[in-house]
Amino acid sequence: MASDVDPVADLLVPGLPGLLDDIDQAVIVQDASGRIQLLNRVARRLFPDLDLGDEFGPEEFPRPDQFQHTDECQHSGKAFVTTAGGRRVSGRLRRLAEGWQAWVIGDIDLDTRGLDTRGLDTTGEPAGQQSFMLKASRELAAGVDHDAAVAALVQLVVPVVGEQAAVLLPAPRARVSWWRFAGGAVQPAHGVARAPAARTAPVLASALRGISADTITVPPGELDALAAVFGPDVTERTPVVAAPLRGPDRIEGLLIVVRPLAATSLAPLAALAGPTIGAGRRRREQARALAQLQAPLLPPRPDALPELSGVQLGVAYRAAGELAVGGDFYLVRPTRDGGALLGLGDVCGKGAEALAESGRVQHSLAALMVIEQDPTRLLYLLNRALLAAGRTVFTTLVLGALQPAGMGCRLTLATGGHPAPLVLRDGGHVEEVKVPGTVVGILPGARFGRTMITLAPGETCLLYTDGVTEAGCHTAERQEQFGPGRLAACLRDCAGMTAQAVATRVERAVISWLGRNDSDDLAVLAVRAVERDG
Amino acid sequence: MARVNSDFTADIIGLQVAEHGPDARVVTVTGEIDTLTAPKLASFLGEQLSAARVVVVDLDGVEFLGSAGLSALFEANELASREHRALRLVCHSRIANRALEATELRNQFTFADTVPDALKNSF
Repeated sequence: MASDVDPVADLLVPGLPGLLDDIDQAVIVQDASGRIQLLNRVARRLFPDLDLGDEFGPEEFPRPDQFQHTDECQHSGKAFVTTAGGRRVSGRLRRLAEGWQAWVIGDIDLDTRGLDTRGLDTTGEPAGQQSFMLKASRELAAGVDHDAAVAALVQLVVPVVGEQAAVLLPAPRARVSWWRFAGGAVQPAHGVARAPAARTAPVLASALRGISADTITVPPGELDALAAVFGPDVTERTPVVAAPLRGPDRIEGLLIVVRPLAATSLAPLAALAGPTIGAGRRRREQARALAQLQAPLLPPRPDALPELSGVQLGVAYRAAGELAVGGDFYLVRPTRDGGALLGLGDVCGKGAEALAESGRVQHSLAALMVIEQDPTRLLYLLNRALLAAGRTVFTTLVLGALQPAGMGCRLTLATGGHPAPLVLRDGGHVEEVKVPGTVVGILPGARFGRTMITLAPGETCLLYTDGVTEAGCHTAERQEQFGPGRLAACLRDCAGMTAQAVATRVERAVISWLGRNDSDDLAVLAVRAVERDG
Repeated sequence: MARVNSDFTADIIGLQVAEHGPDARVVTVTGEIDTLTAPKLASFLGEQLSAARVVVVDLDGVEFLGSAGLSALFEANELASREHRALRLVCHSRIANRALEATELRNQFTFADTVPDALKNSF
C-alpha cells in the first residue's frame, strides 16, 4: 500500500509522496468533498483501515471532544491532542486552498493523562515521553553550535509540547536575544528585545535569573513583556508556560511555550537542553577568544606583504594541527631607508603551547625593532628579553636587514640556531649561507654572528623553517626526510621565477613529498632582487 | 638492562636503563625524539638524575632529534647542574649531531666518545 502513487500530489510536485513518506508525522490530505487524496507512510500505519478516496473527519478519533485550543492560529491551524489507533497523538488541522485540508498528526504516543493546560503537572514519566526525549537529545546534540542548538530546541517543542515556542537568552544592556518557532514556519525567527523588567514582569524576570521552579505559568499580566517575541498571537487569555534552561554553571535562558499540549515534557526537555546550550555558548566564546588571540600572530598573506622597490617577496605558510597559527612565523617591516627588516622563525613545540610562545617572541621582536635595526644586535636583545620573561622553550630564527645597493640589494643576515638560508644565483647554482648563532631564549651566554650577501637582479634568497627540510615521509619501506639536498635541487629548478612562485613551488614540493604523512608547521620567505623602476 | 615500560612502541622511542654501581646509570635512547615523545624522555631523564649522581645518555640509536627533543635534553642538563649531578652524552647519530650543531647547543653539553669513557671519570 505504501508504494501506491498518490496521483494528485505527484502532479503538484513530482516525488512529493516519497518525500512525505520520510517524515515521522502522519499526513492526511483531503479534498473539498472530504475524500482522502494523500496518505503518507506514517498515516497508513496509524490508520490501517484508511485508504485513498475514503472520507475522513474528527469522528475517526474515538474522543473528538479532546480537541483543545480550537482558536485558529494564522499559521498553525487547529491543534489537538487525541487518541488514534490506540495511541495518544497530537497534531493539527491545516486549511489548504479551495476547501482542501491537511491533518498533520504526531505519532508520539504521548501519555497526556492529567494534562493541564496550565502545564504544572509533572507527575510520572510516561513511556511515550521517553521516545520523545530520545529524539530531543539526538536533535539537540546535532546542534553543537550554540545557535543551532537553540534553533533545534524551539522546533522540537512544536507541535508536540505546544503550539509555539521561544527561547529567551540574556544579552548585555538588559536585553534578550530571542528565537521563536510557530508551526508552519520554515525557520525559527530571531531577534533582540528588551528583557522583561523586574518591576512589570517579576515572574519572567526572576525565571530569567534562574530563581523559579522548573516550570512556571506566565501570569496574564506579564504577557505584554513577550509582545516583541510573539506579536499578536499571544493575548491575555493565551496559556503560556516557561522553564528555565539551566547550564552547567549558570542560567542559559528561558524556554517559553505558548498553548502547551504536553506540558509534562517541558521540564525534562529544558533539563536536557540547558547543558547542551551552555556547552555551545562556551564553545562559541572560546572560539571567539582563540580567533582574537590568533589574529595578530597570523603572518601576512602574499597579497598583504609590503611593496618594496627593487625587491620581490614571496611567502608560504602552513600550520600543523587544528589552530590557524602554529609555531612558525615570518614578518616584514619596511624601514625608512627604503629597505626592510625580515624575520622568519620557529618556536619549539606545536599547538597552543607554540602559539603562546610565538606570541611572546613576535611581540617582543616587534617592540625591539622600533629601537634597533641591526639583525645581530636584535638577536642579543631578543634573547635577553625572552630570558627576562622566564625561559620556557627555545626559538630558532633568522633575521635579515635588506638595503638597496647598486643594481640589486644587500642582505645582512643573523641567525639564532636556524637552518642556513639558501641563495639561487644568477648562473642557476645554489649556495648555502652559513651564519653562526645559538638558539634564542634559553641561554644567557648565547652568541650571534652575521653574514652579508648581495643579490643581483634575478637572484633569490630563501629563508625557511625545518618544517621544510625535516618533512618526513614514513612508509613501511622507507623513512626519509625531504632534506637540504632536495630543497637545493628544488630551488635550482626555480631559475627565472618570481619570488612568490618560488615560495609556492617549495611548499608544493614538500606537500607532495609528505604524501599522506602529517606535516609539521612550515614557513618559507623568498626574497628576490629585481631591477628598480625608473 | 631494564626495559622501560612505555606508551610508545620501541620503533618510535626506546628507553633502556642500566645501573653501573650505586652512583651511575646509562640510558640508551633509540628512535625518534619529537614533540610527541620528548616529554617521555624529559621525565625519564629526570627520574634517573634523582636516583644516580652520574647519568650517561647514549644517543647513538636516535633517528630524529627535533627541537622538542633538544629542549628535553637541555632541561635535563640544567637540572643536572642545579642538583650537582653529571649528565654526559654519547652521540654518533648523524641526525642528532646535525640538530645539536645547527642550533649551536652542542657546547652546552658534556660529551664522551664511548659509554665506558663516560663512566670512567665518575666524580
